[in-house]
Amino acid sequence: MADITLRVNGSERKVSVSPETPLLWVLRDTLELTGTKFGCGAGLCGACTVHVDGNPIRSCSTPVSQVVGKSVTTIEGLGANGLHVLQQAWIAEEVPQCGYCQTGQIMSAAALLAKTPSPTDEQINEAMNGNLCRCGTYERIRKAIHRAAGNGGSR
Amino acid sequence: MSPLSRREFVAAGAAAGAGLVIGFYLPHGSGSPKEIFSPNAYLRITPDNKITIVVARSEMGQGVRTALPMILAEELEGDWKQIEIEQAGASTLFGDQTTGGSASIRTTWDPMRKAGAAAREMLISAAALTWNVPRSSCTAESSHIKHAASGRSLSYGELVGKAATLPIPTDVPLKQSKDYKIVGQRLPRVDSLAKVKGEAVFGIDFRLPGMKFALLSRCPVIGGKVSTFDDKESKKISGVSYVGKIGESAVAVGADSVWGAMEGRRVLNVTWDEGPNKDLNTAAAIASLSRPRRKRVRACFRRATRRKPPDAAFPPNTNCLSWPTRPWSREIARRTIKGRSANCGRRLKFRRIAATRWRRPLVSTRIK
Repeated sequence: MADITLRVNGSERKVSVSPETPLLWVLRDTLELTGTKFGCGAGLCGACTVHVDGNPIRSCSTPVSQVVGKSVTTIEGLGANGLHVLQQAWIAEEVPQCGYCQTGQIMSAAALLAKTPSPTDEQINEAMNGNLCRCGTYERIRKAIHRAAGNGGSR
Repeated sequence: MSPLSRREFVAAGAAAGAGLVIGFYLPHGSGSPKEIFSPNAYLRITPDNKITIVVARSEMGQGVRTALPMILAEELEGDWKQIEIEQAGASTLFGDQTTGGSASIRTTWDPMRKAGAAAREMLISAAALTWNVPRSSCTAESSHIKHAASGRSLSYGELVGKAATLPIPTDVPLKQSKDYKIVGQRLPRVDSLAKVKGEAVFGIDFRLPGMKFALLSRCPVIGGKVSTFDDKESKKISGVSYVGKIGESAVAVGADSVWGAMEGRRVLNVTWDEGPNKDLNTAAAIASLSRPRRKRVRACFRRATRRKPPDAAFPPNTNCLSWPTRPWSREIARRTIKGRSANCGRRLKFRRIAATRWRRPLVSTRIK
């Protein structure tokens, strides 16, 4: 056990966990931010994607000790002032079916748009490659990213 | 309170043949039960015009959380914008809540329609009594009962007090499909917002105060058992509070966090008795399917797909490769030709898959 101070969604959070604990479980169990999902636990499915200093990472495979002093953003902190343009696009395109993977999908897409405001299909495919969806919503995900890009996607 | 009040009794009955569950709703939280109109377990209307429809199937991406309330709202003549949706709790009032097999709409279509229609008829009666006019002169529309002759109108919320005292009708008229306003519309899913915000509560997100989490270590071979286990290392993990055998074939590790349980299970030492299947592998499974039997099955499908269809049952614009002789195959072909779902139960689906595995499709899936 160690006292660790994290910066999550813009605020300082103090937690007392073992330093090897994956960031995912600190977010979900300790900080009760359950929008970030557990999928495979091995960094293969993307359901646990969050941003660390703006980069998409797999929180299930990232020890919490690695993000000390960095800025963590989860789905709960995305679009802090109302819905993020991607979330709006997701609703407009009716992307989610079961919805379990979608917060991870949106976090990956948000990181993509922040760097590439108008991505091509190929760029989307590449960036979203690590996010699996068992419902098979990939076509709508791509549409929604294009829609968000057309509406100033990096915001 | 009137002896007919819905909260006073359980009329555990069913409309003939359709399995409409009529029960009573136990209001939780504050507020007098008098202020809630709940003619059945699927519906509540409160004086503030809030209409709550209860969904007794699990949303798994197939859209039932949107579709089922649409069915009830249609018969209720409810304003879709006013409707709130609630997940059914653990209750026998809803019957079997099992969700699967593409069965949700099929199995709830009649109960949801009848639940909505019964409520609508009671609200019409309540309005007719209030105005002292014949029932037949009142119509339901957009969460209001209207009396065209006098131009009067009362919202459902205004009628709940009176409606709740009326008997539940058992034989209610249902709308004709040509009059549908909600069913058949392409309405947005009701749960998209919660899902994109990460607020939707999945099973893994459920929490109770002081809740513990447990994971199972299970025998990797089906039919195997726990021989012995050593929990010494597991109990060293911070937060692990329980290690114990569950049934014959698993050991549970309980902890105060998911990660604690995961770590406790990782270091758990179990010796398995792998049982009768310990030597089973793919090669052994294939070898067990003897060649003569495979030949028999192949011949069976060849026969089943050879016959030509009778002309009358076979529209000319379809693209059928062959007409099966077996009743189940014919049924699949017929349904597919009609453009309906070929999935008419697990058995047929399985048979269809089995058939296509022999590379003799019963019918092309490209039907115009």
